[in-house]
This record gives sequence, C-alpha cells and structure tokens, in this order.
Amino acid sequence: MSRAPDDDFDRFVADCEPRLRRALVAAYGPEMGREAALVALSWAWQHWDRVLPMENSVGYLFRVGQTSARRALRRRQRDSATLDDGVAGDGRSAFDPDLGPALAGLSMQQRTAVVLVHGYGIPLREVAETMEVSVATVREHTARALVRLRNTMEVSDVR
Amino acid sequence: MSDELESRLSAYADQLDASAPPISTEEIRARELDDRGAHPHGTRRRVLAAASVMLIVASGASATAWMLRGETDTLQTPVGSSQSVAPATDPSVSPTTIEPGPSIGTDNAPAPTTTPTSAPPDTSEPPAPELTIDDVRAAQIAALRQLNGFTATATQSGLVGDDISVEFTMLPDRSIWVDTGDGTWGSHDSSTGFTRGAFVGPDGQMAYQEIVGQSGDSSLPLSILVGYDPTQIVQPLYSDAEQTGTVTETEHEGRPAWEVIVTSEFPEFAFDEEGNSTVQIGTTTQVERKIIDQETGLVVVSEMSSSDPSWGSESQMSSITDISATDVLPSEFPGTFPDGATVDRSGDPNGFSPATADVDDVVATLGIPVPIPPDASAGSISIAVYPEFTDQDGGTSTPYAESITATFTTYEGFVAHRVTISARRLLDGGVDEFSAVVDGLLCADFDRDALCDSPEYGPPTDGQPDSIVVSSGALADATAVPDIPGTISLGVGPLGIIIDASDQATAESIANAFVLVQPT
Repeated sequence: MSRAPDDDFDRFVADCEPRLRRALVAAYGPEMGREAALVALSWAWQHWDRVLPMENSVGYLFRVGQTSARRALRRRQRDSATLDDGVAGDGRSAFDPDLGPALAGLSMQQRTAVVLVHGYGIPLREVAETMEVSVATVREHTARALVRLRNTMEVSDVR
Repeated sequence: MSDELESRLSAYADQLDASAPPISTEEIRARELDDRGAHPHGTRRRVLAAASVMLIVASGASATAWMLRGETDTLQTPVGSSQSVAPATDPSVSPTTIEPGPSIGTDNAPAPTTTPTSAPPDTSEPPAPELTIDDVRAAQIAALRQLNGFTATATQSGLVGDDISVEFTMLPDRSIWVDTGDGTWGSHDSSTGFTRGAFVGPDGQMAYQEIVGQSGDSSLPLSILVGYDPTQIVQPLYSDAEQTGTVTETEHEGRPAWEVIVTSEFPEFAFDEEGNSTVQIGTTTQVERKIIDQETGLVVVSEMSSSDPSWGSESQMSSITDISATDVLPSEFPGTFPDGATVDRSGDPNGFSPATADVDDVVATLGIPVPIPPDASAGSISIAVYPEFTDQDGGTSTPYAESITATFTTYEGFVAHRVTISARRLLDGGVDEFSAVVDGLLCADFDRDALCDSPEYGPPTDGQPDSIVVSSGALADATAVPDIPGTISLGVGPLGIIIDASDQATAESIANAFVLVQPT
C-alpha cells in the first residue's frame, strides 16, 4: 500500500472526481453518493500503487463506491424499516415532486445512465467508461429509463 | 426525448450538484478509512489464499490423479474432494502443471515508484468492489484455458424417476466419452465428427445410433447423458432483458467456488382465438444458479428453476463431482457397435457439416482470395453449403443461390474461439436492384454502385460507435463492430466474417492475424 504523491493525486482528483461523484450521486442520492465517492477517492489515495496501472481507474472506483454505498444502504435499511430505497429516502424527491420518485423506481443502472446522459449531458462513452459497460448498454439503460419515466410521469413525447 | 423531461432532468442534475458539492483533495486526505472500509467479503482473502495452489498430476503405474499442492501441508486436497483414478489409455502421462485462475479483486500489477506522504498509517483492508458476473467470467475463462481434460461423475436430478449418474471424460476439442455403467454409452469424436450412442430404446431393447459430421459439437451426448455442459462460460447479463445477477464466494466440496444466480422475468400474456396477445396474466420467473470451481473454471452445479402462471414451478439440477484430470480418453472410446447390430444413421446429414475440410477446401468453395483466421488447420474447419430458393415452397424450384459458411474453431484449453466466413453465390437468374454480384458472390448494394458496401453481412464501414479498425493482417483497415463481449463482425467485399471469441482482446487479436489465401 502506498499513498499518492500530492501533485499526481491533485491532478487525478481534478480529472476523475466530477465524473465519479456525479455517477454515484445519480445512483444513490446526494448524501450517500457523495459519501461513497469520498470513500472511493480515499481508497485511491491510500492505494495509489494499485490505482496507477489501471486502465479505467474511474470505473474501478465507481465499483468501490458502489460497495460502500450498498453497505450503507443495508445499514440504513436495518436501522429504519421505512427506508426501503436509498434514493427516495435521500430527500431527492423534494427536488422535483414527480421526477424524484420516478427516478427512484428505476434500476440503479438505468437511473445512473439517464441522469448522467440527459441530466448532466455527459457523453455516452464517458458514462460507459465510468459504469464499466458498453456504449450500447448505456444507450439501452437510458432508453428504458426514459420510457419508464414517461410512463410514470405521464410526460408527453414531443419531438 | 421530450423537451420537458430533458429540462427537468437537467434541473435535477443541477440540484444534485448543489446538494453534493465537489470533494477536495484535503477532504480526501483527511478521511481515514475506518471499519466502513473493511473488505466486503469477510473471508475472501483467506479463501483466495487457499485457492492459490498449483494443480499437479501425480503419475503412477496405472493411475493419474490431480492433487492440489499448496504452500502448506494442510492444502494437500484432491480435486473435487476425491483422488479418483482417471481411465487413461496412456498411464505414462508426464506431469503437468496448471496455474490456478486469477484471483478476482486482487491486483497483481507491479507497484510503481511512489512517494509516501505524511498521511496517517492505514492498516485497513481495501473496500474492493463487489464481484460481478463479468469478473467471474474473466476468471473462469482464464482457468478453463489451462485445463487440458478431465473426468468426472455427472448427476442429474429433478427428472422423471431416479437421479441419473454417469462417468465421463472430456477433452478440450469437445471429444467426450460417457459411460453410464449399465452397458449404455455415448461418445463424440471431434477428429472425425462422429457421434455415437448405445442406449435403451422405447421397447426396452438396446438401440444404437451414429451421426456423422458433427463438428466440434458434443452437445448430443452432453445434453442427453451428462445433462449440461460443465465447460460453459457464464454469460453477461442481457441488456435487453429484465435480468438481475448476483455473485457470491462459496465452497463446493471443500473447494473455493463462485455461486452465480441470474434471475430473469418474462411477461406472460393471454391469447385470444386469433392468436393475438390480450392481457398480461402474470410473469414467468426463471432462476439459473451455477457454481463454478475457481481452480478449474468448471461449472460444478447447474440448476434451473422456473415458475409461471400456467405451469407452476419446476426445477432441474445437474452437477459434477469427483473431478480428476486427464488428457487422454479411455480405451473404450469412441465405442463400437456389436456385430450385426442395427444402427440408426438417419440423422439429417444436412443438419451437420463435415469437420474434415482444410483451408484449400474453403478457398476452392468460395472461389476467390479468402482471408483465413490464424491457426486454421484441418480437423477444425467445417464447410456448410445450403441452397436458397426464391419462393417459399421448400425447394421444388431451382435454387437461385447457395449459402456458403466456413467455420474455423481453435481451442485454448477448454476455451473455444470460432470464426465464421459466409457468402452467397448466385446460381440461376438475375439479381434485384439492391444486390450486386462480385466475383460470382452476391452481396447487398443498397446504394446501387455495384460494390459490396452495404451492411448485409457486416456493419456499415464507418460512423458506428465502438467500431474497431483492424490494424494488421489480411483484414487490415477493415472496420469491425463489437457485439456481445468477445464477438465482432465485419464485412469484406462479399464475405461476412464473425469472430466469436471468449473475450474482446482475443477477438481483436484474431482479427489482426488473418492471412489472405489465394485460390490454387
């Protein structure tokens, strides 16, 4: 285990942090997602020798963050039986009274993909890299998410 | 998408950003990993350490058995918890070493030179990511690549009647010998393409069957006698299906294993008298459970259960035990029929293609210079030619074209890579306005420029996301498009080429090593 040189790590965080944080926040909500991103980046700092040779360090750290978030989710569910969904329970429904619950009804991958692609406007290829899936899979998740959102929210499809 | 939905998603993202501000490097460095950073799989490191052993063949005068040799004496455990004797015809098999499959979630990359900072010491385990099906798939492929043959006992349960157990031996080229122990047997010889079987017929009498020209395909004896293919590689989840998958570390017969459970749901509809679906009456749930031995990559348990509104629930499970390694088939292989026995050889010969073609046969059949995949050799090449008719009467008219498919199969241990090269030859009559004939072979020509540049066999030549440009060999500069992981397709003139390898890197490696062979 070795920690990162300061300059190297600063550059790494500047490059990776926005994508990683936004992906985990999209998946798990602002509170839990940001905490997961912080855990993942802390792990990267303390295990720099493992991160450095990785071809897709953001993708790996996304999964590290997922592990952290899922564990937190399980803890939260155990502590409070009423919170059965980390997203809905994260207060995001207050953002948009219809969109928040509708997003919470999507699968984690669909939710992440649609928020990153259509919310943040991140290119498909970058989203695919972060989620460690193919571009076609991101497109598929996004398309399914939009269909479900439209159906749930009864938003008309204006082309 | 709708403007309204897009604008609301954009506003939502802005709100997320405001609620989850950027993380500074100071905040990261100040974070000391505590118990939350502990390894998600409590015993995983210990289990993987136990798996980090070498398989060594212990040869004897009449026995060849796989033994595990670990770094400590306590790891001396036979494969499959049994020191079974392989029915080898050649007892003098030289010792062989198989490296174990890679340990998932661990990183063997060399440590780069780094400068430690003044951060507090950290002794916690890394919060390694949870295992995925893709992780297991990659490690299973690596393990199967190192396996050169095995014997095992297969048991099927959930069938009508008692459980069925058979012993079988299987080699990487899919040659197999199955002995049921009661006089019936089955075999497939990949070198000849012969599949044979002796079984009890519906009348209670012994029956015999032989099918000729089944290339590299042991599916018949495997499915009938063994119940499943233990060398099957776990598949990624289908992106267009309602599937969920879980992976857990487990043990099977005292050996480290992964358990992969994939749950799929399909809507069930009621149909009216005209066969049109009306309303959804329920959902069919299908659960597929596999346990994969980490050391060999073999699927040691395969269970499928399903429940649907119409038929209720059912479950079937097959498993293998007593695995031992061998790289030779038993002396009984491929099996002989008794003198005077009636052998059913009625298997549709059009259903199978000879496995005995060589490269020259392929080039001669296509009649043009053909890019041939690397390591193509006789015995692993099959050619299938089927007539095509302009009408749908089943072939009462003269075929106007014939479809030609050459299949090349290569093996790395039990991991198979297949390349198919397809073309259609015009036999009789003209072509429609959207087709062209180049060197006697038909191809799509939607832009009517008399060139084979339309995506009938392959993808468009450019503009596709994820496309790969082949960099070397006979396919250099051709554009390939990945499909599912490990499968890429491309069109080269009138030829359609599909490379179906175990993984993407191998598929691309094959694509870069084609050799152009001219007709003689």
